[in-house]
Amino acid sequence: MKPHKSPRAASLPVHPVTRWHRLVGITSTLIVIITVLTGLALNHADALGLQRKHPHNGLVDKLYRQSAAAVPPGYATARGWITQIGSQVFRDTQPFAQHHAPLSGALMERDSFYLAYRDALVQYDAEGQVVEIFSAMDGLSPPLTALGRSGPDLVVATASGVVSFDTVQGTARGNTVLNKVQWVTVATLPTGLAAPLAAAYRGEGVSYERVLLDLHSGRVFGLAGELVVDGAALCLLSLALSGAYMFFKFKRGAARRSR
Amino acid sequence: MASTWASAISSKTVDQHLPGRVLRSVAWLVVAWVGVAPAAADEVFLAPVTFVTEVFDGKPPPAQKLWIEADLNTKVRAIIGSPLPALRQKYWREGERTVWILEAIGRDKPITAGYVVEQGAITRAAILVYRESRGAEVRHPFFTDQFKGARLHGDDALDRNIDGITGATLSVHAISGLARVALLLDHAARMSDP
Repeated sequence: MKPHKSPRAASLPVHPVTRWHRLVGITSTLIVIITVLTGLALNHADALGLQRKHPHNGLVDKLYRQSAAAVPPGYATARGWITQIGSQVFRDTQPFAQHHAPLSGALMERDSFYLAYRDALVQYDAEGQVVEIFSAMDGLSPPLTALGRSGPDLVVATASGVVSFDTVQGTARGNTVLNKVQWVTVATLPTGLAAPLAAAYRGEGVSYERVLLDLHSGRVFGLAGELVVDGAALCLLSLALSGAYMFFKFKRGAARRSR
Repeated sequence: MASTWASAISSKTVDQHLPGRVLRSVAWLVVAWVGVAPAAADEVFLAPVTFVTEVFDGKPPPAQKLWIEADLNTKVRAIIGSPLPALRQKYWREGERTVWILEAIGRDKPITAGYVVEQGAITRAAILVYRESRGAEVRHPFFTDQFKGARLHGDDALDRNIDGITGATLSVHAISGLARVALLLDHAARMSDP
């Protein structure tokens, strides 16, 4: 049977703390449910084997940028393709070097690889060991936007123009004539290289534990997600405080009425 | 916000606008937090090119290269926690004076510092580019001047104590470590090309 609400009760003003309690409770419900469920799962991550399982579906691959389609194009050199994913540089499918600035060109000169990044030109040996870094100190003002050849010299497009670079001396020779330059161009990786490269980059991919942890903290949606979860945590705190307040307030009122 | 709650609880009158006021307070707190959150950005105090040019009174000599041997890199790793970034280290030399531009990570990001070494002692140290969000006080002369005259003695340590800066401990360690590396490299350069 539906409980009867007396006209007197209906006309009584609702206490603001009660209204606050209701408002906060209803708005934070969904996030609290997600946080509680992911928290419970994370608490038993070992028993559930969440570290050993790896989700592979369109949404997770997209969120963590681990799909084969996310592999960017690369640069073909005499000894393999050079590709950069994040800060990891690959030679074909093998990790070759690390550099945080974006890659803007790659080529081989004698036995060295020269990779132009936005902030510097880096010379590597065949194993990916950095031999030397050339930057503004050497006449290459960043950003470096392209790499090419002009006769025996390397040519770099810099903030101060197109510069001819002497790899033996390791110094810029000065501006060069544009129409004699053969720029290295970015190209789509050959079929059969992109998928192994994506697999080499991501390994088995993120684990369920990582995905749940990111959902739990809101990080999966970046800073906005973190702030929303922060807000939900504060809501929970205010629910506890307002609940305690109402408990003692109404208990005192009931005791007064019974007297 | 705490005072709002306190007044609401202690007050006998019922404030019908309390939820709205609390929500507004929270919104303002979020806005204020976002506004004051530290933003890390590269702070170029002195461009490396300018530093080298200044040291040599506007006429820097051509850069020289020092090949970094494995045992030298082992020492560098022991001092700053990582080897030098390249097998060839660039430096500038005129007579007994050498100039080194080096980088080491303070907390999360590399700090670029310049050192002038003359006859085995540092004659000038300067913070050139600072990328960390906190601790940039190391750029001030009251800190960098402590390295003037510093030399290496046993265990490749400096022959003096460098006073730290509260809140910039990791940056102080990085700059002090780089000073030792600069002296090591200067020694290696003079040994390879007396």
